[in-house]
Amino acid sequence: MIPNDGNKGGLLVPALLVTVIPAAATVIAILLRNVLLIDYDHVLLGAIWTGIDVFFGLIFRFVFKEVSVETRQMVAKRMLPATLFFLPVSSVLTPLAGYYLANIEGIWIIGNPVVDAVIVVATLVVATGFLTIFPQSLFIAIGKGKDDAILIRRFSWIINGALLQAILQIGLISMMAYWVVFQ
Amino acid sequence: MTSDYNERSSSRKDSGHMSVYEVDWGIIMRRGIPLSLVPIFLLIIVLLIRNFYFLEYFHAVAGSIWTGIDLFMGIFIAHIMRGLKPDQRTEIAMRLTPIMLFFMPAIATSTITAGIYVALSLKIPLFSSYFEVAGVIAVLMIVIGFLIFLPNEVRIFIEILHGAKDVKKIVRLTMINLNLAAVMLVLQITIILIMAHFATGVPL
Repeated sequence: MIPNDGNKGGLLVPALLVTVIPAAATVIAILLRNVLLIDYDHVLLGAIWTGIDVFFGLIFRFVFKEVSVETRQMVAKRMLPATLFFLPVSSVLTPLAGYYLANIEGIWIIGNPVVDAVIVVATLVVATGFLTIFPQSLFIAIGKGKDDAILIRRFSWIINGALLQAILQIGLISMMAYWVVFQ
Repeated sequence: MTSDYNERSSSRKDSGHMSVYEVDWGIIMRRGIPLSLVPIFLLIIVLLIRNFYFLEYFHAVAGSIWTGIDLFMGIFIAHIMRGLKPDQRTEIAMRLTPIMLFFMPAIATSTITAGIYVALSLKIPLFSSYFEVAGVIAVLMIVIGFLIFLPNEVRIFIEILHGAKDVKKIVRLTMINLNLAAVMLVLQITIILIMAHFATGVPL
């Protein structure tokens, strides 16, 4: 179903690596209920996720649009470990680790304006990913992006989704910094 | 290989279209310069207003962007490049390099500078284990960034300015820098661990 780009085993191995490693790290941290590991996991995954979204949304859009059609097709397929697997997985694991961290630290206080705002924006970030990046990547993975115009349109959805996520994530970090500094 | 690129390039030029091996420098400068100036400009504002919240916020956001881009470059772009033909690698490298040449030094310098100010604001003792370990890693990142990564980017940039005749050199230096991005990522992951220790109060 998923196209093989003819290089080194296709999508399976990279997809497994970028899914299993962060998932295992998060599950282990949560099972151990170790505040250091959960904090580390949450910050690291969140940082990587935000950076990738910024790179996608602000920088990679130009690279993708300006290369030749064949290169674009290859890049779109080789990008799938990031767009179809790593970004959705991060968008689930980062808030999950954040929830456990807030619980352990006793700051999961529904009704607190900062916590409520974090929940609303985090939900929007996750929804953005699953409404834009994930489905469009899935369409590319099952081969519904062979026509260049369609591929560009699908990738535009992915890139704009990443940009919107990045904006929301930067807003989210401002709330967390507010909590750390003022609460 | 080089002549093949040049033939392709000239055939596209003849057909009236810009070649994928050519880069519009006006566009690159319009993209690259703001990307390099924005982090520095924001850092200066944050330092001038002397507000710890904005300083911490800036450090967290800039650090996130830097770490995420290094991961993206060191793992995902490297994965993409390994699957491409040499001419396709050149296309990507030529479009990534000018942006990375401007943006990466700016975001790295801004993050580290903000981090030093955060540490000073929190009055972390200069000879504490947090400061010492983070300092050693930061120095390592600066050395790799400014003595290897940046000169490589400048060499690629100069090569592109001279018509990108030696495409093997462009691809080779780009692949070295992608591997360096992975090394930087490991160092950043380590420095974030030290910050997690500090934030949670768990001693090193």
